[in-house]
Amino acid sequence: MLEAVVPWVADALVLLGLLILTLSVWGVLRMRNVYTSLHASSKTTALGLGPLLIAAGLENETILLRGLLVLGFLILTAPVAAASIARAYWRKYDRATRPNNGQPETRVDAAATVDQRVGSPE
Amino acid sequence: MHVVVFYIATLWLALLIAVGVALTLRARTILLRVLGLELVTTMLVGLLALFAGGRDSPHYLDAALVLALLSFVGTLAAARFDAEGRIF
Repeated sequence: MLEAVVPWVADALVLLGLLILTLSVWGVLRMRNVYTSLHASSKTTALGLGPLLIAAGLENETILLRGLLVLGFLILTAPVAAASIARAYWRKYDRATRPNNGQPETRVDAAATVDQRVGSPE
Repeated sequence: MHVVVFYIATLWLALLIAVGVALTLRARTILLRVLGLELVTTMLVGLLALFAGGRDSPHYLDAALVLALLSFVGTLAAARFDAEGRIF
């Protein structure tokens, strides 16, 4: 009984993952801003690949363990990559348009202080 | 999974990869291009996971892991180099 259900569950998970990946591509196409495009793409990376990887390993334990390894790695790295793209875009295009050249004006803006300490090319 | 779903999902992911490649080629800035490449790599990892399930072979996921690792390092390096002119 349970073995008969497993392929259908795998089908449903594959279709769910494909739906989420399609929404990811559509969001990147639809959004006009880099930040909002990143919002669409980075969140759906782990969320869309998770069902695909789990569906691949439902009938084989080796595939399941290796898929979970890939999934854990993606969950760890996808936010970091998206944050690096957003940070690079902000430093290149948006920082110059800020008043006071993006420098922190008050001590409340502690995150920007840490950002300055990383270093800039000039 | 069933064979029909495997073929449909493969075709659909290939279509998504084509859209991602077009997005990468037509991007206005370098950072949008980096974002498009990351998107294409995500789709490729999904395709490799699909093949691992459909062909019942775990070796496809080794390639997927390496691809995800290279995409992460490449995105970090390209974004940092574009904004600051140096990687480290």
